[in-house]
Amino acid sequence: MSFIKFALKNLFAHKTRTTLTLGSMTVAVAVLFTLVSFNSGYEKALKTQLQGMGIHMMVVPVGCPYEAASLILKGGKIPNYLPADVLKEVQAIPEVDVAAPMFMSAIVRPDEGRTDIYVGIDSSTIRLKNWWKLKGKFLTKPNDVILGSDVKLIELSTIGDQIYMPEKDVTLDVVGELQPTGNEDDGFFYIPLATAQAMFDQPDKLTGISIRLKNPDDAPVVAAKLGKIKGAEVITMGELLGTMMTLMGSAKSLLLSIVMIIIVISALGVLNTVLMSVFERTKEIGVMRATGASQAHIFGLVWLETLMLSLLGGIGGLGLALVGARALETVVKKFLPLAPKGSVVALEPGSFLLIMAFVLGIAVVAGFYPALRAARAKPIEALRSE
Amino acid sequence: MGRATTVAALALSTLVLAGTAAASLCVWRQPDTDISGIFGSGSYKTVFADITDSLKVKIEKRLGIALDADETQFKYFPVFKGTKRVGTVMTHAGKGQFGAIEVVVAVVEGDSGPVIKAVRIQRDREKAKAALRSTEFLSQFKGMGLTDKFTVGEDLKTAVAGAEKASQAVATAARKLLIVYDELGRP
Repeated sequence: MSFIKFALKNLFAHKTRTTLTLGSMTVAVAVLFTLVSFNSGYEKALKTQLQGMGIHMMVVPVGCPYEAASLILKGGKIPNYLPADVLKEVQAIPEVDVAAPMFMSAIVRPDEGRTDIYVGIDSSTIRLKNWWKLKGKFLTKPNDVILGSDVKLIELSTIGDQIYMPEKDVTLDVVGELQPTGNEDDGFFYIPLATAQAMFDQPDKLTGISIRLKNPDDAPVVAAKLGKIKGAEVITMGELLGTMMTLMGSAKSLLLSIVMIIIVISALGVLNTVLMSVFERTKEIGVMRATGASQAHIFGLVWLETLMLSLLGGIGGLGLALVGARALETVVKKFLPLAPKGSVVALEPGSFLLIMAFVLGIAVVAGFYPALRAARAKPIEALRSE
Repeated sequence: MGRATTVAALALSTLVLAGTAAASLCVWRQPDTDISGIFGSGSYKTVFADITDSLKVKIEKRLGIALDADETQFKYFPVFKGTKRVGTVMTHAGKGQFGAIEVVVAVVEGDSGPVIKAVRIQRDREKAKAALRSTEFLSQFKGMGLTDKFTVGEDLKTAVAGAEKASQAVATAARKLLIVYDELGRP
């Protein structure tokens, strides 16, 4: 009988105990694999989406953008705006393909538990965001409005309807609807730039300029040129992506730590199972030693049992992850603040091999003590034991 | 401010703004205020009821109009004083003249079936906002039941001239919720 068959026979001599140990290892590996796959997939999807946006950099007013966003969401006025003249300076840079100005402000309705965010844009936004699918037409008259897909659902309004802003006593005509984009664009009211500036008493002011370059490789050169504009700060999308991933990295590290602990606990379960098995087979081991089995044979056999238990748990974990990851993805995407389009779980063989190596590494350590204990058993004492 | 801080802040702002994009269509926004205003005091619980295809057909037949595509489930809120059930609250988002109108309807059991105890408006963009929320307009609904028409210009007066569409949106919401409540078996 080969070593592997013998080890398997030993393991499944106690089906319940082995199955429970296998189960815990399977779940732990599945969770780790899904988590690693989710992280990898999310980063890829976010990167693809940001790159697909065709925006290579943004010019924003000097100051804290987070404070500005908070103020906008509270309906307040941000301390710094970009003068509209900055747009001409940006457009004059030869490497710039499209420079789209934007003015963003909000009206807070605390009694209704939400905030209406108005974004003033001009026709360059359509050139910049060429992935937008617009139903209806673009803004041509001062009181035209295009609804983001979430706004359309919330306001139950469609092309031809009117939207009234009681706080500004302005009636807007719905001329277009954005098809869902899967990002924050879905939650905005888009109105003409001049209308937004006038409505919020900030004529000739901008909250930002989005830029697409003719050649993305020119980003450093253009960033240097833009950096010379007074009162303006340049953010490239590469920096933004990196920072977003760093922000999410903290949560990822915490989760990974927890899962690692779970795997270590599962490994202790494996150790316990094999050690129990060694105690129960003391006499059998004694017989094996008395009939010619060396210490190395016994050590190898018990160690092999540990490795096989971990290997089977790992394979089971892979199967569980393959089955469960998609379902988990559907649930997780609903709760993500910025869920990119497409799959956010990338089940990669490389990740699985890495996890298996980690699990087997732990199994090697976990199996060492039971194997050593079994190998050191003296045949006479072992044969005497009950 | 350091450049790294600015980039981090912008990234965080992107996440914050992204988070505001989604909002639930019609939640019960101010349950405590509404319960206190309608029932004096009380507590409530939330119950979800699925609208099956056969139920949908029955409701639409009685209503005379189709349910909205997303109305596959209704929420209702039984209201209690102590352990005694004193009524039921339901909410609805409907299309007004200048955007959505969200209505809160309180239903109680009358002598010959469910009747409306009160109607409140929790969100709207109407130019006739004040008239629409006035006691004069909303008190008309008190005591209305399944046999009433809920038609502005017939058994209901408009909130104010020019706000007929918005007034009818409130009336239609009240009637719809009353019928749904009845079809759910007055749970």
